[in-house]
Amino acid sequence: MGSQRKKKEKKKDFVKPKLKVGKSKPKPTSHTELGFKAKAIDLPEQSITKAHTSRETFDHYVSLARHHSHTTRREALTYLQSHLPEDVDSSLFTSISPLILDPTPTVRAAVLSLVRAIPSSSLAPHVHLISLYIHAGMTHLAPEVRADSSKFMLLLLKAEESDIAMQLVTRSWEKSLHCFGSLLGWDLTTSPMSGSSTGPSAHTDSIKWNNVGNATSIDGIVNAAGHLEALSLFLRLGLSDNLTREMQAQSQLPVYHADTGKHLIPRNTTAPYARLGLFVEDKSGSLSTVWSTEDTSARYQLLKPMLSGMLSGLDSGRRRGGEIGRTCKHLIDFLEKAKLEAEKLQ
Amino acid sequence: MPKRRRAALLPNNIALLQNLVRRDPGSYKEEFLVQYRHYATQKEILVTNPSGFHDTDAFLDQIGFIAQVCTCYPSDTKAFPEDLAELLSKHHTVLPVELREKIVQSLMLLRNRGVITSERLIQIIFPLLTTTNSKTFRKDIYTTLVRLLKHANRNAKAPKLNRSVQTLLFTLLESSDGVAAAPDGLWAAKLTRELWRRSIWDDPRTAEIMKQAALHGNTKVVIAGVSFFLGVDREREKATRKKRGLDDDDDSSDDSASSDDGEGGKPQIAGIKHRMGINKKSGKRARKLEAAMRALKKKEKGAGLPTQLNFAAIHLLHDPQGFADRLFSQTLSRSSGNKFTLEQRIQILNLVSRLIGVHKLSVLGFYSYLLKYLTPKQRNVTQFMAAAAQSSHDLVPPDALSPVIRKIADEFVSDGVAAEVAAAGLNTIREILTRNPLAIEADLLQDLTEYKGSKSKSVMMAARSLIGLYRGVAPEMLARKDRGKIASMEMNAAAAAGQAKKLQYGVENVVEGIPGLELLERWRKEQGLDNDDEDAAAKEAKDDDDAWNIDMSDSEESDNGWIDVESDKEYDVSDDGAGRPEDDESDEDDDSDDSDKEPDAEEQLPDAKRAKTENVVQNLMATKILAPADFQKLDELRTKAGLDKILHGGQSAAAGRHQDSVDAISLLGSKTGKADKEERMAAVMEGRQDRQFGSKKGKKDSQPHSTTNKEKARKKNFIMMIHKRDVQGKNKKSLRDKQKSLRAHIDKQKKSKRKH
Repeated sequence: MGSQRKKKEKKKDFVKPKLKVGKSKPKPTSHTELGFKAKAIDLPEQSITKAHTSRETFDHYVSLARHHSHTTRREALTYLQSHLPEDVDSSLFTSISPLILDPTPTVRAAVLSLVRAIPSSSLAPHVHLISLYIHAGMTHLAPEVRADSSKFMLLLLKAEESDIAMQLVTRSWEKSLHCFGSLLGWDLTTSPMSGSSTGPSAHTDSIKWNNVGNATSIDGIVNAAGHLEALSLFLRLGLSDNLTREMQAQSQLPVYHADTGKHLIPRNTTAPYARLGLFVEDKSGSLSTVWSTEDTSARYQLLKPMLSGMLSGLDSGRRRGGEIGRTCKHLIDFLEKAKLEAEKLQ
Repeated sequence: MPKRRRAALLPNNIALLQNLVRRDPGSYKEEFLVQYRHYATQKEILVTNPSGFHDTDAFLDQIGFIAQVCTCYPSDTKAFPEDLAELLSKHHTVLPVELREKIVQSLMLLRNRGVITSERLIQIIFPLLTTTNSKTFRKDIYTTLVRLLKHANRNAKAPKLNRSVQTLLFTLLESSDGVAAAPDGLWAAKLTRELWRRSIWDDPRTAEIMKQAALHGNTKVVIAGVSFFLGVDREREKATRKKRGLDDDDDSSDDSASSDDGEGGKPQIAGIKHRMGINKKSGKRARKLEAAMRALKKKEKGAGLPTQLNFAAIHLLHDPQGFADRLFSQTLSRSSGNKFTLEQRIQILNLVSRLIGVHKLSVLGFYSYLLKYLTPKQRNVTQFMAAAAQSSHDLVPPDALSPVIRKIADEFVSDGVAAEVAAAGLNTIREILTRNPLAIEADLLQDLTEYKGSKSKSVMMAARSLIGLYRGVAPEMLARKDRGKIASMEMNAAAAAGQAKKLQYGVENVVEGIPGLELLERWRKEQGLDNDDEDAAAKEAKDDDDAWNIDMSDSEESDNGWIDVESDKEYDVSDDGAGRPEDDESDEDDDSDDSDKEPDAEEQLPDAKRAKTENVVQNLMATKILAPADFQKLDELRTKAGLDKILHGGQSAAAGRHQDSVDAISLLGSKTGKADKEERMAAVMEGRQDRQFGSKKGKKDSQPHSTTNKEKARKKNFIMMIHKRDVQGKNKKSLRDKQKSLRAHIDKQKKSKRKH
């Protein structure tokens, strides 16, 4: 009967295959053969491993500077430092300058050494970008990041190309001073003339150092000496007219009038018209300069409201003695002199 | 000492700092300022390269922190909201998504804290709604806007904010007019519609905004505006009802069973009643039914309650005539070209016709425009017919309407057309004539009423309804045999009195007197209550006192509207009532109208008697004030006299008809006669949906199963069976029986063969 045959066929599916000694296990019906036969394998290129140009590897490491692992970041930075090309383009700066705020100390150190290694001539066009990150670092919440920020500042101020320091001084004078204030725990906002600030805590002007900034004494600040050094250099650069070599050279030009220098094309060579703010979108009023900080007297005008807070802070630092005390004393002397000079001018 | 402790709490993360600042803003000002400066530098970095900004998370925290605590330092953070606004408006296309969201959130927070006004916030984020190309961001902003306005209007309306936003939307609509793609206008319309739906805005200004939208240059905006006027009221009602239903559930959990599904109250009660009839009667079940009834009653009461300012948007329009004119000329007339699809045109047509009907406007071009579309071949012709019916009212000149009726009669109601077409035509004509009975000549009407003898039930019914209509309104226009007994007797009476009534254009139907009052008078006489003597006044006052205070609790109508009136005040009122004879005179002028309504009571009365009755009625109206009890009695008497039926037909019913909408489907008439094959099959298939067909045996065989008894018997060894009676008996069968079984076998074989 047909149905019998069918039944047998049906049964066959459920019969367990017998395993035999010495023979491999029969393949299940659902088994798929995966092997294949090919007469030839085509390779479009001879070498499977692709040879990268040095430029490509460099770009690769530039991108690795944003890697999530801090060791990779650090290694990338060291690679970049050892393989710096002749001309450094902006992509390097856009990727490494955020690392100024990196939470890992080794990475920050690597960035510092990398920036140091970059020739200052190629550094000059990117000073503005780097300074933005330095300012962010100086106001950063993490104390370590804050401590390291002045190293970068100092590096830029001491750079061979005097233009770099001039850019810092002219483009972000007020902001940098404020940042230094927050770095050293000084209250620069409340000048004795403008009266007390909002808020219930009343500050007495005499002992600001301890009172202000919630008991951040100079002992509590990591790298205070570095901060002070950077500040003193910054102030010296800003308040004396011809400190750099170029300025000295310029001052030796034939002078037709005492104010000739003011009417010449600005000495700032990389961004001579930056003060006009033609390409800067952000014009937030509070921190940017209202007037040009191209000349010394204008910078002094900006410094003036902060002067008392700064002096009192320095004074209490001087009393600590040691290296810091000495620096503070020099700075106080300098500021007094600058004050006298400015008053004489007026 | 506390200083040192604070030093221990030097914040090194932003959440901690936020906490500290909140507790003691003065002491932590320096820290805050450092953070603020940090934010400023971060923002500068962001602005130099918005698309390549990496430190988003930290910046998010910074923004959130400053937004949270900026109320502590208002003078230092004055620029903060504007900073955020600028960031958002300038860079919203390139900012990281989460940053964008955070900025909107922070702005919302600042508004909640009162740092910026709601107006300013709307000014900041509304432009983004139309300029951004991110769908999620758009949705975000939209919900933010709606929430903002809802919040502002939560406790009391915020007229200032509403007005400013409405002005903004209005100007958006105006400014985007004529632009090819008008996302501004579309969003404005959408927002307005949503706010209306939520009953946040319900003033004429909103209607004006939507009016502006309906007159917009862009097709989509026009349709948004039009559909707002057409459907949104229903939508809002549904929303409020849903809300109320939910409230009900909150209030009383015991009757939630019946009130949880919006309109499902009645069927459920029917179900409970049915079960009561079948199941064993128990107290519990009876209580259940009672509770359900109570819930239903409560809900019905709620449904009748007027919602807060539930004016239909159409009623709130300032200048409906101008609106209808402009809408018609801008969108429908030939000059605008074929900007709209047929569906859109139908929508607009619907709105214009509703406007004309509701406000009794005269847009004469509309009727001639309709003529073009009124042919049976036209797609969606019922919609056009509905529009024609909606747009007619008693102030349309008959000259304007009669071509429409003539056209419908010619195209739809003739011998060559199908029954449904004729029924639709007749129904449409009836709808138009209900609103404006003058729009047809007697000849045409009589032609149309000839269809009362049609074989098709729907046509016949449509023709009869036309006759019924004119019996009430103008029986003289009907053929003599169609007038009916009551109407013709009335006509005769009127003719005898020399007051043959004629319909006139522009004469409004005025209500004179209270229908059925003479019944009450007669009843009073019978009861001996009516005595006009002055000395009985005291007694009557006492009677009246009872009459005013009748217990209405058992009557269906709730007595919400009634205010108890003191008995001494009643006499003041009756003095006023005595000054009504002018009314009576006017009554005598058009008493045919009056008699038209109460023919049933008067038809038995001779003329002289009738005149007397009228006098009596007027007397009663002039001298007495009817108390609620009197009205109740009047209702009773009227029902007894069978007057109600007549009262509800005829002209009085047509009075408010011009405001109603006409359902296009209802114009087709009731579906009568046999269903055709398709419909029958559809019904059959619907019934079959989850049933299985086919023989049981077939199913059984197809499945693996054990051997059946039949199979076993068939296979049994022949030797074992040979001596059994079953087998032996076969031999002993009579010839007739053998023949029978053979025949049966052959039949079976044939049947099974036929199957395969």
